[in-house]
Amino acid sequence: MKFLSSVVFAATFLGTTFAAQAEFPERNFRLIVPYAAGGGTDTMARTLAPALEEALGRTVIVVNAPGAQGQIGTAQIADAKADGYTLGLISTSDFLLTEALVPNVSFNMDSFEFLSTFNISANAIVFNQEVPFDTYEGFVEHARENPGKLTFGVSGDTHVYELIRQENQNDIDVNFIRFSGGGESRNALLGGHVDGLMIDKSFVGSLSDSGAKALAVASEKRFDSIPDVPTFEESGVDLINASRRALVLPTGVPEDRIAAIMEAIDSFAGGEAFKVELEKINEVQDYMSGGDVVKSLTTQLDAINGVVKANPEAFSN
Amino acid sequence: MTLIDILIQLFSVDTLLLTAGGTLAGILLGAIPGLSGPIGVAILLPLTFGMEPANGLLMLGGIYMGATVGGSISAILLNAPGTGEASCTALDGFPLAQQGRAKDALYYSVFSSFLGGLAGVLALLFLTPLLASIALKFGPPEMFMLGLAGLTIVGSLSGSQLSKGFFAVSFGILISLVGTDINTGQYRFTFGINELRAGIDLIPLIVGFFAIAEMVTLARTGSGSFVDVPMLNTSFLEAAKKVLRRGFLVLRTSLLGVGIGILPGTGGAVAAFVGYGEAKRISKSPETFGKGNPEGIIAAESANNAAVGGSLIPLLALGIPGSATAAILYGALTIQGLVPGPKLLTDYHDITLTFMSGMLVTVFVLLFVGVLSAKLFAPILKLKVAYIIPAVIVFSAIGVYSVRNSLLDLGLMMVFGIIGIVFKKFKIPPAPVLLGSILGPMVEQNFGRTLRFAGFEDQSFFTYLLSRPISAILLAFVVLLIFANVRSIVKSRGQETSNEG
Repeated sequence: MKFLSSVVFAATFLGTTFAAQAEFPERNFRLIVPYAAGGGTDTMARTLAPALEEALGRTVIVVNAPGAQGQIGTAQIADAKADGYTLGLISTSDFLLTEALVPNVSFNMDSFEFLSTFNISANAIVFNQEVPFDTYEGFVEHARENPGKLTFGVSGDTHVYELIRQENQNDIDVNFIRFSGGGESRNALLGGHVDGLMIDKSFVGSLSDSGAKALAVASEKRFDSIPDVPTFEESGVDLINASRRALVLPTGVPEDRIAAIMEAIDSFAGGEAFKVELEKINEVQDYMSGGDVVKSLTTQLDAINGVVKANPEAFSN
Repeated sequence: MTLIDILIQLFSVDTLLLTAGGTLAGILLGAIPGLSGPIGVAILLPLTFGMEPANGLLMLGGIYMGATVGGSISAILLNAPGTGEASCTALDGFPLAQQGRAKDALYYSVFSSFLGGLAGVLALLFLTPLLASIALKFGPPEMFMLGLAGLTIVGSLSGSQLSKGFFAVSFGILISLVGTDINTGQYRFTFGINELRAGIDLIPLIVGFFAIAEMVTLARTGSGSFVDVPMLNTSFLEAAKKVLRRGFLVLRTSLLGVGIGILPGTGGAVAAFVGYGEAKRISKSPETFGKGNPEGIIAAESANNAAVGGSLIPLLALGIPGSATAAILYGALTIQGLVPGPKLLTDYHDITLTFMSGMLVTVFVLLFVGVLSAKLFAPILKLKVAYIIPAVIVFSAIGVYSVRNSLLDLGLMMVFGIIGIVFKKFKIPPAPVLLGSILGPMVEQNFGRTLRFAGFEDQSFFTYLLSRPISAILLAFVVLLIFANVRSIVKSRGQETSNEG
């Protein structure tokens, strides 16, 4: 099967371009994941890799390069040789916040060729079982009556950004406590050490099973996996902040190679079989490619930049 | 699903092969300096995709358990631990090996790992809901106090000169400050090198300070074979008997290991250090630690393997991983379509129970394979150093690189190797450096969080600590620990001077 598809690819390009380039792909690919093994982006990469392998006819090796909310690995992708054999899978929420917030990083939007995104997710606001309210409106009311009393565990600037937007719109004031990872912050929530969290919707099910309350989710419409959790819009708050995983190349890869990889992705990423694979790992399929990805990211980045400029201190505590 | 169904699955050919194969692979991987449980589990994770969930999990669980023991092999034989878990084992294991008692040391390690691992898995099988709810009680103030309690172990790791131990532990804490300050988001001591924003990983530090420093020193001074004294041949049963005679110590350190394992952000390394410190504290002859006292190995190995089962407890009960390896197992569960969390114990109860009881099989496989591998690996010491040195350095470099696929980490390994040699020259113990860099972040981050919590409540730092029962108890405990440590140091000083006089 792999052999066959590589023959098909070779045949496609022989007709259109030079023979030397026609051999792409002639060796294995490297897929850099800027996070540790076992995390959400890694899990996605390991689901994506076999599908890519089949479509490209070459092995795709997942390489974890974790650290500093994805900065280290993302820089590695940007600095990689632009021959098309190094791909990267980045988390758009971390990427955008780094772009808006972090000084002296070696990459920006222009460092990458955005190929496609595969899924859509968003953070939900979740409270521990002891808080005296059960709806988002109840939370807002409680927070207004008790300014500076509710404490949120955050593990990443995306969480801070989303909470600041809620503070601004609801005219409330809450506290942040930073944790180094989702595991620690979930422990702090369930143990009652913090009142609430912003956390990816894939954790909502298990947290609710432990008694936590999810009150709103930052997506356009509700997720099927958590049908009882309304969107922020339903509660009158303007907060949509989709988080996706984007497959990228470093800028400068020859056009024909980009086209070859794009064609391979197009052959499966929007399809039913891949949808099932994504569902297995709790992800919702939402395939976008090329210009659409850049457009959507630019819109999100503008919103983030606005909030960052208006509240510079909030992000450094 | 009845017990019989579970047994039938556990002893079916494929499940048994995968469990045993995983454990064996773990031991071999762990024996290579620099390679460790997380890397082994991450490398073999893709193999589990096509497997039945329980089989895949058992293979990974076997690697996890096996790697924890494997690490002690290179620690004992070559003074080249590749993981935080194994570093304490080197403290007494390597001196024993140098005395020609490498086999004893390996047997002590294997058998106490078995006992500790067993304790951890039994806790996992029978106490998961209870222990998970206890783990939740530990918030930032409690973790801060625990970290402080851990730092008091520096007294036990310092040898005769406490000042050198303090210097080393401070150096370790200083190293741990490099990177992003979690509480403020600021970058510290990165010297304009963006990669340092992720902080300094423990593995290059350990490998530099132990393996590289040891090998370079050896290259300068050593010749012939690695150990010149004749190797004593002990039977496993004799060694096991000696361990069992210290049953109370094993029980104590195993319980500590389970307890530390269930807390998020800790893991086997902290467990090993605390176990080692505890063994030395209650020992009647603490001055023999660091010179080849079997109790040092027994305590460290029973504690770190007990932490394996412990760290799986919050993962299975709450979906919160208790260690770096457990975090990868989280991914493995997800890929199998399971949602880590309370439903594992109810809706997916079959798979979970099979996995938990299969970990028991792992523990027994570990005993069997461990004893065999002791026989297999001990003769390494008879090899010429000219072969050992380059092999260890190459494997260490591969291991260090593979942690984060980072060239910077290789550079750091070399830098720490050089610093390690300087430390050796001035007889500064390396273990406190690791202690400082493992516990530094735990203490510092939770100190920052506790300060903020206290601020939100309009309380002072100490009144806030005292207002929470567990942290108040821990505070009293830390004061006692410091007092006990100071006393035992004063006492051992007195002994030493009277010995000299």
